[in-house]
Amino acid sequence: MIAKLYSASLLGVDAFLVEVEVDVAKGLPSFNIVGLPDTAVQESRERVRAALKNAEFQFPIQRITVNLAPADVKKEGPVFDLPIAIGILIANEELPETCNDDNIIIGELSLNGRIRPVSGVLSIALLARAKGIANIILPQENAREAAIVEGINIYPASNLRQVVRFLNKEISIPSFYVNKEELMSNKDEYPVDFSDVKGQQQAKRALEVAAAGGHNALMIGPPGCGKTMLAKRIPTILPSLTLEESVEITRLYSISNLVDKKEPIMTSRPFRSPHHTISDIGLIGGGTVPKPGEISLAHHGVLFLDEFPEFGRSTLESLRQPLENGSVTISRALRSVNYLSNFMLVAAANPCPCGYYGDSEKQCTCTSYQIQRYRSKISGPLLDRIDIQIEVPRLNYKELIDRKNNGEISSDIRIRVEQARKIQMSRFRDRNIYNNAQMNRKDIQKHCQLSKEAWNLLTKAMERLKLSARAYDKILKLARTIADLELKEEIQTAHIAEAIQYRSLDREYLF
Amino acid sequence: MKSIGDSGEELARAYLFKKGYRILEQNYKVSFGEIDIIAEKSNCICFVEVKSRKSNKYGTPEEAITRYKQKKIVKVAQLYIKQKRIKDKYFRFDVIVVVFNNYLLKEIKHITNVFFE
Repeated sequence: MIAKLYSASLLGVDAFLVEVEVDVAKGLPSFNIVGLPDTAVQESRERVRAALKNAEFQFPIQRITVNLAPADVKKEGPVFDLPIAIGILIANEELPETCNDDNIIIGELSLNGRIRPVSGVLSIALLARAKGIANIILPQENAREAAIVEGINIYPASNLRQVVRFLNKEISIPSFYVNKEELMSNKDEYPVDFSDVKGQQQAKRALEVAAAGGHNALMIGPPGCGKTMLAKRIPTILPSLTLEESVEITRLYSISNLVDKKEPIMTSRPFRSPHHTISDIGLIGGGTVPKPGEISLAHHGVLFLDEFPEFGRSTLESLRQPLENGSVTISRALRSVNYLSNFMLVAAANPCPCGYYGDSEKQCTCTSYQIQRYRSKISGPLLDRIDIQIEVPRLNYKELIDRKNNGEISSDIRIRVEQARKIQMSRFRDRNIYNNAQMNRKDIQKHCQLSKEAWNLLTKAMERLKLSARAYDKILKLARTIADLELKEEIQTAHIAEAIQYRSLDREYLF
Repeated sequence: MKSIGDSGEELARAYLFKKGYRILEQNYKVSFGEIDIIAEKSNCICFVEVKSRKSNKYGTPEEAITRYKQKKIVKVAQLYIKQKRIKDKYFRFDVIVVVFNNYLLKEIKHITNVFFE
C-alpha cells in the first residue's frame, strides 16, 4: 500500500513543495528514507517510530520506504516527521487514502507524539497560497506566523492523535485566524524614545534627515557622548512597517529561527548591533547551507556598527555591494540564494584611537600616524555610500542635568519623517526606487531644483571648501530630503547650508 | 551434562509451542552464522535468538546481543528466505531471554520485533 502527501522544505528564504511517498510492503522489517535527506531527516525515523508507538498506533513490522521528491534537492530539518508518520498510517490503512488531497503537512514530532514547532513556516504558507493548496496542518506554536497569509486554511495541532482524528473527520479544528489590522496597530511600542537623549539637538536633527531620506549615517565623537544611545532610537522615528514589509522581515527571521514564540510576526523595525569581531559570513550571510547574516536581519531596519573602524577590513568592504543593491546573493557549491538586505547603515566611530581628537575638554594623546592609520581603515568607496557624516560633541554638564529641555518625543519626529517619505514615494512612482538616497545622477538633475540664492551658496561652498564632484551630488540629495521635510518643492539656501553641514569628512574638518 | 545454552533453547521452544507457534527450524546453521529458532504464527515468520544466563551478574542477557550479532542474524534470515523461496509472509526478529538461578528456571522473557534490517 502506498501513500502520498505534501510537505515543504526551505531553499534560502523560499519554500518548495516536497512530495512525501510512503510505501509499506511485506519483507524483512526495515525503515528507509530516500531523496537526499540530511541528518535531521534521517533521524526522523527514530522519532516517528517512538511517536507512533507512544501515541498508541501500530507501527508496521514491515518494509517501510519513504521517498522525498524531488529527489535531487537536499532536504533539511525535522519538518517531515509529521507527514512521514501520517503517511505510514495511511499506508497501513489506519487512515483513509483520500484524507490528504489538499493539505500541506509540516511538524516535528517529539517521542511522546507531541508536535513541536518548526522554522520557516511563513515561507511555507506563502508557497501554499502560490501553489493553490487550500490547507496547512502545522504545529500549534506556528499557527500565528502562518495565519498572516490570507486565502489558506491554517489547522494547528498539538499532537499526533489530534491530527489523525482530524484527518479521520472525527473532530474538527477551527481554522486559525489573526486580525491583521489589530496586529499591525499594536506595533511601534519601543522601550526607548528620542526624548531620553539629553542635548545633541544637531545630531538628532541629522538622524531625522537620515531617516526621512533613507540616508546612511556616520557619527563621529568622543566616548560616552551618546552615539550608541542615539542610534538605538532611530527605529522609533522610522515610518511604521507596512504588512508587506513585516512579512518580508518575518520570513528572514523565521528561517533563522529567531522569531519570538509569543508574537512571531515582526511588527517593529529591527535594530541589529553586531559586535565588531563579527566575521564576514556573520555579517553578510553564508555557511554550507547559506543562512541570512546581520545585514539581512536588519532588513527594513537599522544596522548599527559601533566602533566602525574596529571592524575587519574585509568585513566592511563586503558591505559595499549589499548597500548598493538592497539584497545579497550568497553562492556556495551546493546552492546560491538571495536574501533581501535593504537596511539603513548607521555607524559610530571615535575620531582617533584614544577618542579625544577635537574634543573641547580633553587632550588627544595619539600621534598623527596613529590617527591616520585608524581612519584609513574606512575606505573611500565605503564612505562614498554614507551620505551623512556628523560630529557628535561631548555633552556639557549643564545640558546633562537640565531636566526640562528633553527635546521632541519620537512620535512627533516620526510624523515629519512619514510625510517626507510620502513625498518621495509619489516622486519616484514610476522609478524602481523609494527614497532620495537611491537617486542617481539623472534623478538628481531632474528633481533637485535650486533657488538662485541656493545655487550661489553651493557654488561658493564648492570653491571655498574644495568639494569633490561626489560631495556635490551628496549635498544635493541631502538638500532634497531636507526640503521634503519642510514640504518645499524648491531647494532653498537654508536646505543647502544644512546639507553642507552633514559632510564633515568632505570638509576635511575632522578626517 | 547439557549446557545452560542448550537447556535455555529447549525451554524457549517449549514456550513458543505453548504460545501457538509452529517451530520451523532449530539451530538453522549456515557457514556464516546460526539462528536458534525459526517459528511461524499467523502468517508471520519469527527469527528467534535465545540468550540464557546463570545470573544477571555479568549484565542482562539481552545486552549481549550486539549490533554485529544482529547484522549476522539478519544475513542468515535473508538466506533462509531465499533458500525456502518464501513469499507473501511477514517477518519479525525476536529475542527470548532465559534466566536461571541455581540451575532452576527463574525467568523467561519474550521480546518481539527487536531489530530492523
